[in-house]
Amino acid sequence: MENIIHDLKTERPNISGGLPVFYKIIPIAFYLAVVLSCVLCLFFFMNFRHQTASKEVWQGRLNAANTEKASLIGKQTEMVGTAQKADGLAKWLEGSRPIQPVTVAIGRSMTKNSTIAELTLDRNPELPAHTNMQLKINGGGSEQIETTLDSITALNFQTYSANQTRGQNAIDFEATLIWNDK
Amino acid sequence: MEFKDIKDVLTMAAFRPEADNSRFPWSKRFPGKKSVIVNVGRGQVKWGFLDKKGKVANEGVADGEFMDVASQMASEWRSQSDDGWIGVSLNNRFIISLEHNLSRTQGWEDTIRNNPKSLLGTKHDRTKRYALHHNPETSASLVMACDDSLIKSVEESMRSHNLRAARVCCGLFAMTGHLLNRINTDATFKKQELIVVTWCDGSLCVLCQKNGQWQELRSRSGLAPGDSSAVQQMLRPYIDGASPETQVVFMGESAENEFKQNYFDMLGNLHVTDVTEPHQLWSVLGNY
Repeated sequence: MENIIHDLKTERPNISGGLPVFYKIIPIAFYLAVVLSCVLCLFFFMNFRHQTASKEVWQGRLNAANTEKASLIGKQTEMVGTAQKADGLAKWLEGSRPIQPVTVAIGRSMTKNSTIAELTLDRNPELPAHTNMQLKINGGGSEQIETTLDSITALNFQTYSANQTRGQNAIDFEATLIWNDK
Repeated sequence: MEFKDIKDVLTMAAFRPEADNSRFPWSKRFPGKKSVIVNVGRGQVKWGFLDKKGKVANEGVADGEFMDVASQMASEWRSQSDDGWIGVSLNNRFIISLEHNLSRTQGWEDTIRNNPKSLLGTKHDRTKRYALHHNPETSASLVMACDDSLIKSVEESMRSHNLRAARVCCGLFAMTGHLLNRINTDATFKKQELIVVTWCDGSLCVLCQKNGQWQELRSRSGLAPGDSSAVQQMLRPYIDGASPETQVVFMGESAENEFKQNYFDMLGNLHVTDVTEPHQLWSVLGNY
């Protein structure tokens, strides 16, 4: 009070000297809460922007991956088709492989009294391993058929559904040849 | 609870004292606010506008009684002060005297306002209002007595013009107390033989101090401009009784004041230390 200038005025009742200093914690806490809220809002906003940008990047990557996946699936389908074709070709090759030796063996099995009038080897398209053989032999007889069948059997072919028709000085023989890979 | 109460808490205004709380200095009552201080003299009113930093922004003067000047200047004073609070310095119809052995019990600042008779005893006059300034090292005290009717008329005039009195004081007494505090804290000054002269717009207070003891005091308020005989009459006893080592410490209400211009010669060959600062009165009243 030493340096406070005197006052002569008529005193007004209930003059406030101000709230206690301790209560300053209330507005200070309020302003701290406001500042903290702003900081958090800013933090969340920045995080949201970052996440949005990250989401766009990952969305782009997902789209690229999906495109790549579709491309790979297309290639896979194409490869499967090609493989199936190759498998079919392999089976065809597998079925056609013994035909040439068969014709040679049939030809060599002919005795001097026998000739081949007609020889047809048809591969079954459904079952390439099955070959329908139609053989018409002039001269010879059952012995010639036996000899020819032995020659074919020697090449690991077995005959199924054999059917022979004997004509005048000729025999028509028909059978299904199946490769026996044992 | 009103919105204003919440606003005051959030702006910290609720933690500051009210503008007319006399227990707090002016600078704590108006921190960061504009204020106006009016010095009411004899037939003349001066005023100073303090900016938000408490510095003097502008000042003015008008001849006439306070009631007349206030009716013309009230709107400008209101516009230059936040919330219309005005500080008033009375520079007329008061007397400062030197007393000894006055009670200094705790709370004497409130007691001198509310119950001066308990402090002053038989010296109390019910037509006066009082203020005290104690010498911290001796039993001497300065007692200022001002006419109660003058204070009431000033307060009434302010109320009628929608002005509010934040403080009513005596500028000369405030300056004298301020100067004596400075002398008391200055070891070199304190031990010397001093004549302390304070001047505020026609009011004069002269105090003789030896070794920190207040010896004699004379004061006059509301001296007419150019009344050199009254000034000489007051100064003469001090000058005649002064030793060659006696110093005069002078403080006026502003750097260029009537006493400095017209009455310095009356101090003769005494060494004079003029401690007056620019806008001395306004800066004292606007800080303490």
